[in-house]
Amino acid sequence: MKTMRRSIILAIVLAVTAAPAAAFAQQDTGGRDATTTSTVTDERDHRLLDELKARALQMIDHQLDALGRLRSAIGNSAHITDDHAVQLLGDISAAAADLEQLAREVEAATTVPEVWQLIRQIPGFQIGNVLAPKTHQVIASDSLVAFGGKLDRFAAKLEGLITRAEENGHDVDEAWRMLEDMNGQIAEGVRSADPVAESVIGLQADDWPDPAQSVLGAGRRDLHAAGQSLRVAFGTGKGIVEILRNLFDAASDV
Amino acid sequence: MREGNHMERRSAVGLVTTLLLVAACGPSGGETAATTSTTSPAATTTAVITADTTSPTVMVTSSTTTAAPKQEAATTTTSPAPPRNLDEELSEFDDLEGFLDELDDMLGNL
Repeated sequence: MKTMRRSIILAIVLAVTAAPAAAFAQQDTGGRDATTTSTVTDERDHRLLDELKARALQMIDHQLDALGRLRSAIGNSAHITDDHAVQLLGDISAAAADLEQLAREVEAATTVPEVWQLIRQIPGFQIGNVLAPKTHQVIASDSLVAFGGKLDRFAAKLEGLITRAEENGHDVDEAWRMLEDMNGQIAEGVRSADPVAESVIGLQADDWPDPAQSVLGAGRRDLHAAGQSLRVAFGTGKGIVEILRNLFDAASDV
Repeated sequence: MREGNHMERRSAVGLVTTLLLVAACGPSGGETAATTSTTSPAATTTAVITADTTSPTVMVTSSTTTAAPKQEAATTTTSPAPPRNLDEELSEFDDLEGFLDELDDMLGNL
């Protein structure tokens, strides 16, 4: 009887002590799960944020590299005018400063949407659509005009040589006719190339797509036409040299 | 005696005439004569006076030269000779070909 009473008391004690413990144990396990889930989500967000930031900074670096190449193209051009170089370098420096500011904002961003919003600003610089083509067109325009000037001096030299040949009794009618053609071709080339620089140099990112697209398209066409005219003029000049060479060779053979 | 005086007078007149001639030409007289001799075949007389400060006598010597005939080359305009080497004359434009290639690259990148 005594043993039986002792067993009942033990059972009650066990029941009283074990139930809350089990409840606590259950409660404890549930809390740990929530913490783990929360940590994983944070890590994933951080990783996504970091990846997005790295991607944004990479895109900005890519644009800054393009600006660096434009600076080099201007620096390496022997024919760009000082005024044009100063104006273009000013545009490039301004774009670079804005991109560097954007990079600082990306680094300081704390949320993914914030970074996305900054990334969406990068194409707005229109470096590939406006700044790069206008820089190349200005350099080409100035270079073609310089080439036209050199061809002008070449034509003047040929004129002197034709005159000398004529004074020595040679028939130089064909050479005179070709020289007239050459001068016309040079003038046409310079007339096409010269205005392009001024027409495109003022274009800004905000001008894309209109009017930048049509202005740059027209500039490209005019520069190609100018290149063609000046190439023909140079070919005509070489033809005149051949005529003179034949005349003088024939004279020295006599 | 009269004949002797006459001879003396003629010598004196000759001397005075020569001196006047020399004085008229002055220091540039020689140059004038030299210039004339290159442009005209006429004969000219150049007088040289040597003054001796210790003697009252003035010695005058004269010589006659005949200028060489005028050279035709000096007045005729000749045609300029053809250039000895056309390539050399045009060497300053040797870079045009390279310049044009550069332009082609430039235009290809527009």
